[in-house]
Amino acid sequence: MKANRLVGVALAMLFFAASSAEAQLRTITGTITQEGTGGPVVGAQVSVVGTNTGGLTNAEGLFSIEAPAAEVRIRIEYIGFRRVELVVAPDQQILQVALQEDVLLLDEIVVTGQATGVAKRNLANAVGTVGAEEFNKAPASSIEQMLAGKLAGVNIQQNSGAPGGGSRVRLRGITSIIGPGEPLYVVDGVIVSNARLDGGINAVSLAQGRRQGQIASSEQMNPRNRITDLNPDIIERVEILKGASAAAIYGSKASNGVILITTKRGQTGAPQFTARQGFGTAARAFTFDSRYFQNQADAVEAFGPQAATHFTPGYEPVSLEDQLSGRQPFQWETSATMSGGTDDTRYFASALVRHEPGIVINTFSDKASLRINLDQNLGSRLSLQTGAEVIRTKSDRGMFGNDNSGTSYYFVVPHHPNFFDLRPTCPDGQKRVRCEDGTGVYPVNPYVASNPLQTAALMRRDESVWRIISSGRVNFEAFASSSHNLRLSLNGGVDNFTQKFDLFSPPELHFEDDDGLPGSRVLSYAHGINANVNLNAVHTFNSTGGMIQSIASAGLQFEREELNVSRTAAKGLIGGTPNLGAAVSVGVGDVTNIIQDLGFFAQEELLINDRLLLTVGGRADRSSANADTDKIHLYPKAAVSYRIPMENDILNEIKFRAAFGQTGNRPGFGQKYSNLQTTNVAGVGGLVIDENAGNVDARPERQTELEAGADAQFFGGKMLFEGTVFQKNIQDLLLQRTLAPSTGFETEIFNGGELSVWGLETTLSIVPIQQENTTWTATMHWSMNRSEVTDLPVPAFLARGSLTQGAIRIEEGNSATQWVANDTVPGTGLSDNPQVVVRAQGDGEPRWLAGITSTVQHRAFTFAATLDAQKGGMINLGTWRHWDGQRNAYDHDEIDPVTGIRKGVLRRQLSRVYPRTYTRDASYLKLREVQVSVDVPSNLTDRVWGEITSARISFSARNLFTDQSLLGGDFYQGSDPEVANYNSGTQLANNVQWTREFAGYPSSTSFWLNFDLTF
Amino acid sequence: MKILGSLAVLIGSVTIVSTCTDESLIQPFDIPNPNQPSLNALLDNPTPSVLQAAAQGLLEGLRQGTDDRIQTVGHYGREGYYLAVARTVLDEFDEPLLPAGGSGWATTYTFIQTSNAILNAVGAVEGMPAQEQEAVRGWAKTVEAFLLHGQIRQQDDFGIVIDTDRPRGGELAPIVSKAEAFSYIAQRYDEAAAHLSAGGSSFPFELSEGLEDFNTPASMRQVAMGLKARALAEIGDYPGVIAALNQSFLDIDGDLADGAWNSYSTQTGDQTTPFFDPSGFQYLLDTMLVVDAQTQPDGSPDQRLLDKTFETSYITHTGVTSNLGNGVYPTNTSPIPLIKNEELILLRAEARMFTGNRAGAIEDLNVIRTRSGGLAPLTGDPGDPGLLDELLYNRRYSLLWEFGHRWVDMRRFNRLDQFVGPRGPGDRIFSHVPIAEDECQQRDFEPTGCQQVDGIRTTR
Repeated sequence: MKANRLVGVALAMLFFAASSAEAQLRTITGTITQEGTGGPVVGAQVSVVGTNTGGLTNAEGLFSIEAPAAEVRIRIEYIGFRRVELVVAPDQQILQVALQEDVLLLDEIVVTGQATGVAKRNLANAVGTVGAEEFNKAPASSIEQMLAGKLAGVNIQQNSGAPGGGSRVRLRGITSIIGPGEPLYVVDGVIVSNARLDGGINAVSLAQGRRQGQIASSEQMNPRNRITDLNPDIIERVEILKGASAAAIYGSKASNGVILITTKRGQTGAPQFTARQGFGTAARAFTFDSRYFQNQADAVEAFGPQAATHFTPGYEPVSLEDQLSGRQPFQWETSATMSGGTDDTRYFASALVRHEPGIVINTFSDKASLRINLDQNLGSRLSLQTGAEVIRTKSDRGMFGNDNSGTSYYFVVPHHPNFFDLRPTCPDGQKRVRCEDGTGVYPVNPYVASNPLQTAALMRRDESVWRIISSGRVNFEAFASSSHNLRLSLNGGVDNFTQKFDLFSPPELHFEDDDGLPGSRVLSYAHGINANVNLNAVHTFNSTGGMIQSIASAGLQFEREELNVSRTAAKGLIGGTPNLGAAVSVGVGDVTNIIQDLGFFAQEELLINDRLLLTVGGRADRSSANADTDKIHLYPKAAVSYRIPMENDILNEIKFRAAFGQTGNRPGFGQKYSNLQTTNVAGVGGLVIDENAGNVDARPERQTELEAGADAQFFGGKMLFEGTVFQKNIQDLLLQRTLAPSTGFETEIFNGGELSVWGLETTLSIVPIQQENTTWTATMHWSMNRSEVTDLPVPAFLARGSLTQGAIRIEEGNSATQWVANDTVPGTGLSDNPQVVVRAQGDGEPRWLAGITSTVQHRAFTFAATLDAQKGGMINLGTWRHWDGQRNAYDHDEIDPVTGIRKGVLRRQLSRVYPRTYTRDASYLKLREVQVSVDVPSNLTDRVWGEITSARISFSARNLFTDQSLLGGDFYQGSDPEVANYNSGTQLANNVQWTREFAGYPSSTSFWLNFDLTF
Repeated sequence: MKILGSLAVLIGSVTIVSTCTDESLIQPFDIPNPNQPSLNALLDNPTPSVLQAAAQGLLEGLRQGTDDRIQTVGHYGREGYYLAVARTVLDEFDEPLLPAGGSGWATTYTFIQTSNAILNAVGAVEGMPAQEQEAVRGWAKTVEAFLLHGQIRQQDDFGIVIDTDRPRGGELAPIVSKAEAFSYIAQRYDEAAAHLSAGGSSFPFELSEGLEDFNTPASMRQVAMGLKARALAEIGDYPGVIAALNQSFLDIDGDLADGAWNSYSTQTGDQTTPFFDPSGFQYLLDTMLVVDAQTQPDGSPDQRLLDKTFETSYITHTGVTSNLGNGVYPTNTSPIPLIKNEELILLRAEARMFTGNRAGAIEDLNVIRTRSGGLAPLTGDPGDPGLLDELLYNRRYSLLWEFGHRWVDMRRFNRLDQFVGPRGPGDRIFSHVPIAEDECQQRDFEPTGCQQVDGIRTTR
C-alpha cells in the first residue's frame, strides 16, 4: 500500500541519531504556586532549556529535576498559565515560582498542520481560538451561537429563532459565489457533516406546485444545519483557520476556512465529576403589530367585502402573533461529566439532555448526547486516543418561510385582519389559543387558505436524528533521542447520521383538501456518512541549546462523503390514516451524493531561537467532484513570523508575521454533469433535456491568500494587540450564469473569472485588573472586508434576486456582493409613468463587524457580556412587503411627512420601481449574551456535601437587546436583521449575502438559570 | 482501568478498521451521476428507447406550454387572478411591466431544445424505419410550433426567437418580428403535417390519455391543422384558417369537448391539475363574468358561467377582490385542453364572418350558444359590431381559463381599453409583455422588446 511505502521512506530519511555527551549534573527542587491564591500548581512542566531533562510538579506543587551544574535556564509551563523562563545560577538549588494565569491565552498551542502545532506567540497566522470557559457561559442551542460575535473576521448569523438553532457562518467575507461557502468542520480529526436537509414540507404546502414526490430541496424551508447536533459541553477548544494561508493543509475543501473542534480528554488523577442543571425560558424578541382599522370602509378596502361582516367599530384587536408565538416555554438542560485516569489510562465522559420548547405552539427541540473519550498508553511508545459520541436530536420547528400558498404560519400573519379571531372553541365553550388533546372547533379562515392556530396544533413535523461520531488515533513514537523524535500517527473516524423527517398533516386542516387529496404524510430519510483516514509522520528536531527546533511532517489523507435522501410523500390519506400505504397518491424521491478525495501533504516548520518561525508546506489533492478526476491540484503554503522581545515596561514584545497559502474549493457534487430529466405525464414517462447545463470542465476554485500582521504585548502581558491584513484572490471561480433562455438552457455552471477580497482584522485584549480578588478582562475586535470581481469572462449577471426586488449583480470591477435594483429617475417616482433605471444601491456585505466580550470577576461574583455589532449589509424585508400588500401594516395610516401620503400606500406605490422600500440597512448592535454568576462559598457547600469542590449559580440571557438605529440600521419594526429565509439548498444566497427575511420563525430572547457543581 | 484501556483499544480499532475496510472506501473516482441520466445519451447516437422517451418527454412540453400561459395571460385578460400571493397582483396592476425573469421563455425554449435534439438524431437511430422517423419528426415539429405560438402571443410586436438550433456558446439568434414568427409557425405546422402524412399508421412512442383520439400520425395531423388555424386567426389570415380547419378534427355535430387534452394524474412523478382549487383560495375568477353573462331562456345565467364558476368567500389582495371560485377544472386530475372542437367551431365562425359568410358564422355561433351556453339562438344578424361582440362573448365563456384567449382577442380587435379594472378605473392594461429579463441581459444591444411597457389605464 502507498501508505506503507511512504512511512518506509520517511523512516529511512529521518532515521539518524544524535548523541549528547553526558555532563555533570545537579538537582534543582522547588515549588510552583499560583499567583494570587498561592495554591499549588499540579502537573506543571519544569524543564531545562536546551536539554531534554525535566519533570512534572506533584500534588503539592513540588518538583525535582536534574540539571547541568552550570548556569541554566529553567522553563516552567502549565496549560492556562503564562510560561515562565528564568536563569538559575550554578549554586542555586531551590526555586520558588508563582505562575500567572494566562487570561489572554498567549502561550496556548495552536494547530498548524494535520498533526502539528506551534505556540501562539510564534504563530504566523491570525487563528481565532475559543476555549472551554467561553462555552460555559450563556447556554445556547448550538455551538455557532456560542461563537457569534466573539472573533474578528468571523461572521455568524442566526437564520431564525427556531428551537435547536441554525446559523450561517462566514469567515473573511465572500469566498465563492456558487461553490460551497461554509467552513469545513473537523472534530478530533474527523470531518463532520454540516448538511442542511429539509423535511419536504413543500409536498404539503404545494409551494412548488403539484408534482408528486417533489423532492427538490427548497432553500426556503429553514432546516437546521447539522453542526447544531454537537454538544457544546464536550468542547475543549475551537480553532478557526480563517483563510487559505492557515488552512492550506486541508487542500481543496478549505477555501472557506476550517473550524477545528477539539474535545475534552481525561487527565491523570482522581475522578472528577461535574454536574449542571439549568432552567430556561424564552420570549419573542420582535413584534410586527398590525393595522388598527378605524372604519369599515378601510377594512373592506384591505380585506374585501366580507370584512364588513367581521368588523365592528372600536373593536378589541386580537394579535395572531401573540397567539402563535407568545409562549414563554419552560426549558431545561441537565449535563454531567466525569473524568480522571491513571498514567496509562485516562477517560472523559459527558452526558447531556436538553429540552427546549419554542415560543411557537407545539415547537420544540430535544437533544441527548453521550460522549466517551479514552486514552490508553500501550507501552512507552504506542498510545491510543479514541472517542465516540452518540447524539440524538428531535425537533418540531413548525411551518415557516415562504410557501406562496398561505399555509406557513407567518405567511398568514401579515394577511390576517386583527378584527377576526382564529382561536378555536374548546369543548368547555371557551375560546383559547389551543385546546387540550387536539380538540376544539377551529374557525375557517375566510381570508387566507389556512388557520395557523389549527395547523400548529394538529400538524406534526418530527425531525429526529441519530448520529454517531467516532474517532481513533494511534500514535507511535518510532524514534526518540534527546534531539530527534519521529512520531507516526494513524488517525481516522466516521461521522454517521440518519435523519428522519416524519410529517403528518391530517385531513382536518383547512387547506388540506386544496389539492383534492386531503391528508398528507411525508416520510424522509437522510443517511450521511463522512469517513476519513489519515496517516502522518512527524519528525521533530531540537538542536542542543534549543537554538533550532524543526518539525517536519508528511502524510496522506483519504476522505469520502456520502449522502442519500429518500422521501415518500403520500397524499389523500384514506380516513386520515397516517400510513404511507393508506394514500390515494404516493410520490417518491431519491437523491444520492458521493464525493471522494485523496490528498498528500508535507510541511516543514523551523523555529529558530524561539523567535523566527519559518514554514513551508503544501497539499496535493484529487477529487471525484472534478470533471477530470485524475488531475492532481497542488496547494502550497509558506509563512514566517519573527518575535522581538523588548526590554521595556510598556511594550514587552512585538511579533511580525506573514503567511501565504493556497486552497481549493471543489465543485459541488453533480455540478459536472449535464443531464436529462425524467417526466411523467399521466403514466407516460419521458426524457427531456435539463434546463441547467453542466460544467464539462469542472475544477476547484483556487484561493491564494496572503496575510500579514503584527501582534504586540504590553504591560507585562496585560494587553495584547493583534492586527492583521489579508488579501485573497480567488481564481477559476465557479460561476452559474443565467443563459439567454432562447439557447434552451436556463443556467450554466462554469469555471472562470476572478475575485479578490481584502480585509482588516484587529483585536485588542486587555486585563485592566488582575488582582487576588478581582479580574477584569475585555476583548474588543473589529474587522472588515471588501471584495471586487476583478475578471469576469461573461457579461454581468444577476447572481440572485430580481431588479424589481433587489438583486446581487456580479459585475467586473465592482463588489461581488453589490446590491443592484431598479430605481426611479428623481421626481418621477410617484408620477403616472415613473422612469425606471437600474442602479447599484448598496452592498450585502457589512461595512464592518465588531464585538466586545468582557468578564469581570470579583471574589465569588462573575459578570460576563458579549456585544455584537454589524455596520451595513442589506436585508430584504419580505414580510413587510406582505403587510403592505395587504394594507395591514401597523403604521399604514400614518402620514409620510414629505409626500403627505399615508405610509402604507406610499411604500406600496414605490416598491417595485424603488425596491429600497423593502430592502434596508441591516446595521445592528446586539447584546448576544450576559451572564451573572456566583460561586457558592465552600462553607455552605460543605454543609450539604463535603465532597463538593465548587458550586456555582449563574443567570444568563441571550439576545437580550437589539438596537437597530445607533449604527444606521433602518429595518422596520418586527424584523430581525439576521433572519434569512434562503439558507439551504445551494449556498448561493448566503455566499453573495442576499439576505431576505420572510415569514421566518420569530427570534427570541432566552433566559437561563444554571446550577453547576464540581466534586 | 484495565477494562477502560481495553475498551479504548476496542473503540479505536473498530473505528479505524471500519473506516479502512468500508467497502465503499476504495472506489474509482470517476463516479457516474447516480440521480439522472446523462445528456449524452440523447445527443450522441441515441438508442431507440432513449429517442422514444424523448418524444414522450415532449408531452410535458405541451403541458407546461399550456399551464404557464393560462395564469399569466389570464391576468392580463381579466379572466381571473392568482390571489394566493399578493405580489403577483401588485405587479400586474399597479406598475409598468418591466422585463422580468423568464416570461415563459424558459419553458418554450428548453422543450424546443429537446425537440431539436430529436430532429437531429432521429435519422441516425439504428433500426428505426423511415415511416417511424417521419412520425417522430411530425410530432416534434407540432410541439415546437405550439410552443413558439404560445410565446409570440405574449411578446406580440416585440418579437421572439425562432432560430433555435444553434451551437452552444455561439452568437445568440436574432429576435424576429411578429410577422416572421407567425410565418415560421405556420410553416412548421405544414412541415409537421407533411411528416405525419408520411408517418405510417402508428407512432413509435406512447401518448397520454388526453391524446387518445389522436394517437396515429394521421389523426395527430388534424390536431396540428387545428392549432395552425388558431395561429392564423390571430394574424387575420382567414382563408388560411378555413383551409386549415378543413384538415382539422372540426365536427359541427360532434361533442364540443372532443379534442386534444393535457392529462394529469396522481401517479408517482406526475402532477395533479394545477388550477384545481375547490376551496376558492387561489385562482379566483373575475367577477365581471357574472355581470356580463347573458341569460338562458329560463332566466338563469349562461350555462358556461354556472358550469365553470362557483361562489366562495371574498379573497382580497392589494385591492383586487373576488368571490368567484374557479371551477373550470373541477377535479384534481381534470385535463386541460390543448385545443378542442368548441374552439375550432368558434374559429370557423370567425373566419366565415371575415370572409363574407356571415350566415355561416351565425350558424356556427348558434351551435355554441345553444349547446354550450344554453342560450337562445341568434335570430338574425346583429350587425356590426354586434356580431363581433357576439363572437368575442362566446370565445370568452367557452374558452375561459384555457390559453389566455381573452387577452389576445381583445388585443387583436383593438378593444383593450374596454377592460374593466379589477380594482376600478386606473388599473393598468398591457398590450404585450417585455422579452424575458434574462434574454435582455445577455444581448449587447437591447432589443426594443426589453423596454418597459406602461400600458394604458382602465376607465371603468
